Amino acid sequence: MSAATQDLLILIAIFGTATLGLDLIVGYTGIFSINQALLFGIGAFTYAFCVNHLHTTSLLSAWALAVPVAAALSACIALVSFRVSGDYFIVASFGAQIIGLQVLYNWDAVSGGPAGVFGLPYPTLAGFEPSTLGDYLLLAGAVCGLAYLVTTFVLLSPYGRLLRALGEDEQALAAAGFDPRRLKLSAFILGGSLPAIAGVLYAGYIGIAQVNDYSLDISVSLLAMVVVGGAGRTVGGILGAALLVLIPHVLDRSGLSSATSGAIKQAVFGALLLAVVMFMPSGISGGVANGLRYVRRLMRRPSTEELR
Amino acid sequence: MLAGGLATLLALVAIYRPLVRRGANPGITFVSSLGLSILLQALVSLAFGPGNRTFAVDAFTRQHDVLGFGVSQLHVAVLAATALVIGGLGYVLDHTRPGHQVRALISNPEQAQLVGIRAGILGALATGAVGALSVVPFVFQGMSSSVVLTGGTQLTLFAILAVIAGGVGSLRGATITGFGIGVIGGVSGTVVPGEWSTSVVFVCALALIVARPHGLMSTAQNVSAA
Repeated sequence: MSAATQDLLILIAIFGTATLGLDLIVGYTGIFSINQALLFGIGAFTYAFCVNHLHTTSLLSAWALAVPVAAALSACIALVSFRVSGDYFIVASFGAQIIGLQVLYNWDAVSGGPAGVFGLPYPTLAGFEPSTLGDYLLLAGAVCGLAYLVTTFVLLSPYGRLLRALGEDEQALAAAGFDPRRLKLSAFILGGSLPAIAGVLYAGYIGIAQVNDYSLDISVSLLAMVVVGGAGRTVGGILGAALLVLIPHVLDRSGLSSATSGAIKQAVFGALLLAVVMFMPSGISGGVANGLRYVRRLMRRPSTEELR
Repeated sequence: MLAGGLATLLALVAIYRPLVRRGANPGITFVSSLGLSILLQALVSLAFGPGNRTFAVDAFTRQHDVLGFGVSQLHVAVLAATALVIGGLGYVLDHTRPGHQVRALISNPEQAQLVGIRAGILGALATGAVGALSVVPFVFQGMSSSVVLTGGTQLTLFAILAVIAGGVGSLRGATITGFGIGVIGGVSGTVVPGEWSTSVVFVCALALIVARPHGLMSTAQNVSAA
């Protein structure tokens, strides 16, 4: 496997892990939240903090610090969702992202300020020390696979069914005696933890943690990955991540000048997002599932002889 | 303004209305607006280049001493345009028949249509007017400093914050909180380091939204029942 392919697969695994968390919030509880880049960034800067201040490259140590912080922050954002919903909450979550990033930007000791933190080594996991792209792909792929399995297990459980019911009819759920607030809170805590896990892997992979890398654009991209792949379908986020990581890569290799290629990448991204929302509301995974269902129905159609 | 109005109208007819007809939730509509915004930015970048643009006229921005304050023609023009837009909009909404119809449509769309208000046309006109008026602050921004393709995001966000914190459906509320956001953003720069001023604005606006989900002066329904 070429280095470029390994690089792409690593990025798909990392962003796929982050989108699994966002999908729990957007796809299942139906709450659109635009602050995942902040939680992703918390993972990245926690790893930078571990390397520079705690002098450890242990993935478990970085996760042990990053996940509670991201989960607590996500819980605070969930508290806002108790008060406001719909467009109001989108703006509130937007605001939380901007405030959080400004705090990080000005917190030189952790974020390195505008310059960021450079020279981060690959993280290690319980004696496993990745030194090549192949090793890192194994690590990122294993984390993404495990996150996928855990998320699927959670969503297939009775708790997962309650989460889905929360997104479909909150009032009916409350009438049935369940507490929607507690469910929202738990979904935000779970959904906020996965981007932090992915963020640690991302900073360790690219070796840099800069606040500008976790801007609103990344939040929008993560949301786009979930929507394009298919919100409310666990595999959807990973599919969306694959597509939105692949498209820029293909355009980069098309021989266009960097300015033109940048604008075309942006245009394709915007057009794709619009097209999916307009013509494939359940995303690519939903579209494929519907297509397969249609084909199966066609194949099962009884013959005229059977009808007689 | 014509281009802004037409573009908004086109987006309404081609994207937002079909989505609303299909019962899309606000989140999906919001994602579609993000997609459209990204696409338009890219198309403008391809057509005119990605760099900063400025259309500052020196004579217009040169400051004169008025009672100890540095005042330029641009400052006067901004104040005059603001008064004209807010006053004009208030007058139309409060004292004209189309304005009353728009308010009726916002407050109760079904009943408004029952009494003969043509929701489609009126809604389209109101949306086109919103698009046209949105252009005004960005023109002044280009005259005072420069505009970048992505520069609209923060201004739009502040505008949405002002509308929500002021209370959706209340022009007075949006005006007060809009000015409040401007004042807090300006004054906070003298109290805390300048790089924190955006955060201070957001903290204040979010505190207001959480404390008063309906906004300062609201008729809004968009508040969680939970």
